Amino acid sequence: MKTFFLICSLWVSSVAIAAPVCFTDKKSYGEVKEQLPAFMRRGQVYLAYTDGSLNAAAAIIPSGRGFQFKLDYKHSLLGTTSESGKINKVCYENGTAVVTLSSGASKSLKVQGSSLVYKGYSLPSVSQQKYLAALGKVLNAATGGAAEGKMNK
Amino acid sequence: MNRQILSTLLCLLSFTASAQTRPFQSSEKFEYVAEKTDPLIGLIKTETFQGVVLRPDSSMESLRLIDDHLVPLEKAAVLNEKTCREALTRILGPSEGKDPVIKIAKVETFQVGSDPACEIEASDVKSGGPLLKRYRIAMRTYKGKIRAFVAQDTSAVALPDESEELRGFLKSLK
Repeated sequence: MKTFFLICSLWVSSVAIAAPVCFTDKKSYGEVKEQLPAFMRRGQVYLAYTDGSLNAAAAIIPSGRGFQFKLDYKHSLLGTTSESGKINKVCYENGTAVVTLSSGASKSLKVQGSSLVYKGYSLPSVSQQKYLAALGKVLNAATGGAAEGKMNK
Repeated sequence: MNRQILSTLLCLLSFTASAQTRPFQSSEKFEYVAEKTDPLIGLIKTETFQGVVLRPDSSMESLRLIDDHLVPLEKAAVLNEKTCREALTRILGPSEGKDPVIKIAKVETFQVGSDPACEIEASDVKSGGPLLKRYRIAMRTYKGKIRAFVAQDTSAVALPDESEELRGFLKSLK
């Protein structure tokens, strides 16, 4: 019987721990950041990705009172693209961060170590310096992208 | 004999793969990058996003890359100004209410053969980044859903033939 209660209390406490941690702006982020994974406690998250056909630099960065999600990528066929969206809410629960943008888009990103995994793409978190280097690579390639676009004709 | 069977299978497989990455046919030349095969291109897009249409022959910068969206259409619903505006909300976000992200400048309905279609001119209300974007969205019913092409540009003024060319591509769908 004691074991049963022990199991029950452990289960209840694990459920309590698994409750979502959410923030909508800098103020609420400050209140919950200690409950987030270590790489998400620094006020911003920088991500970089490279493979044969895609170089990408993504970031969740402060903007006004809240945060924005920024993505710059250079695709072998599409060339260079820059996009961003205002973040309405970020919730972290059971190893998954759900980012909801003001457009209504809701994106689930699985946290694996210090990486965010989106639909099988692992985006490692990097330092600001490495992010800027990745961003530079994407944006400097813009001229090259245009040239490739011409070659596609 | 085995080689023949293998090459036929490979041919069939490659045909299936290319057909999967192109969700529609058009009489115009285009290439398609699907979100299914390159998910990262949809990281900041809404759930209706399907992929990017590449039209390298277009003389207009804003129409070389067009986002492709698919919006479900309720049974017996028709594409009119109201459903067109509702679809836009699913595609780019709200244009009304407490926190609009899109400002609609113009909505126009037209016909593609016997199918209803519409076109919206819009722009960002507030941009997450330093650039405000201008959008031209053309939609039509296609196989029971709304297929929408979203052209975007950071230049404030559209070229005179932009609307005609985007509608032309919408009409070219088979």
